[in-house]
Amino acid sequence: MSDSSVAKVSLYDVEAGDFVQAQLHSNIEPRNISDWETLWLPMVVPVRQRLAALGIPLSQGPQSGHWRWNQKVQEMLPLHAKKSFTVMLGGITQGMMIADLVSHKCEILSQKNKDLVYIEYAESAPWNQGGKWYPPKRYKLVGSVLVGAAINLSIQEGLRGRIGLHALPQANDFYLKCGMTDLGFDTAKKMNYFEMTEAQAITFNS
Amino acid sequence: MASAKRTMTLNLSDADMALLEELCMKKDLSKTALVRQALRLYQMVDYRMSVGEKMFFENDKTRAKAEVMVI
Repeated sequence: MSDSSVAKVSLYDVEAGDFVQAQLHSNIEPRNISDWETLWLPMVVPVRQRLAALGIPLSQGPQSGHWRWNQKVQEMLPLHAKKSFTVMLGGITQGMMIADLVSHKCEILSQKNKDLVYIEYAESAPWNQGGKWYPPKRYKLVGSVLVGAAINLSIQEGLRGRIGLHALPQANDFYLKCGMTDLGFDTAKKMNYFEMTEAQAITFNS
Repeated sequence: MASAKRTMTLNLSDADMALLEELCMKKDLSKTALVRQALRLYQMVDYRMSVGEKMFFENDKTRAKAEVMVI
């Protein structure tokens, strides 16, 4: 359904202390779902089981741990308004994203009701997440690459770099650091809504 | 990342062209971008209805729902 293309991007290899070349693909493919099943989930599931065994709310662990990428991709396949991206390094899926071009409109007053690219789901592989429950991060910048991909999609589609998303609480700081505007807690989605203007997109890309 | 492009000629009435231009101004979109967005939205609505879903508008204040008829 979607045209697939590949772009070179940089990730930061924490162990090596240097930047490494990765690839940004404009499609989630069966091999990425396979990586999610065979490489991501074996790290995610034991963490969620440990949380449950300790009586700790799952929300205090990796908050995207319940996401089922196989289902999400199946749901988006028939829809031209959905676009997907993956970050690959060493032949392994380091991050994935699904974005929507038509279902959401801008909330920031200066661009109210204009079209934007809405990031529905963006996730870095568990070995890149760090935090309390995973080993130290293997590669950094996966999230930034995915945000950059959403901005560039927005520019290509004539939406001037405008993007928006509802963030998992753990990711609020990250999106602020990306230069997005926090429009506050959305009671319907139970998450904070973030949005980026054209000017903020230019700053991000510079 | 752009894919190969194909070109078509679009014949519109004066009223349709005026509407297109008005929407482009309002949405800050080129004509091409707007038509592409409209196409995606139309396809999404068509697909979701084909799998048995219904489309509603909901009044934010009153919470009243009105079904959108799509033929």
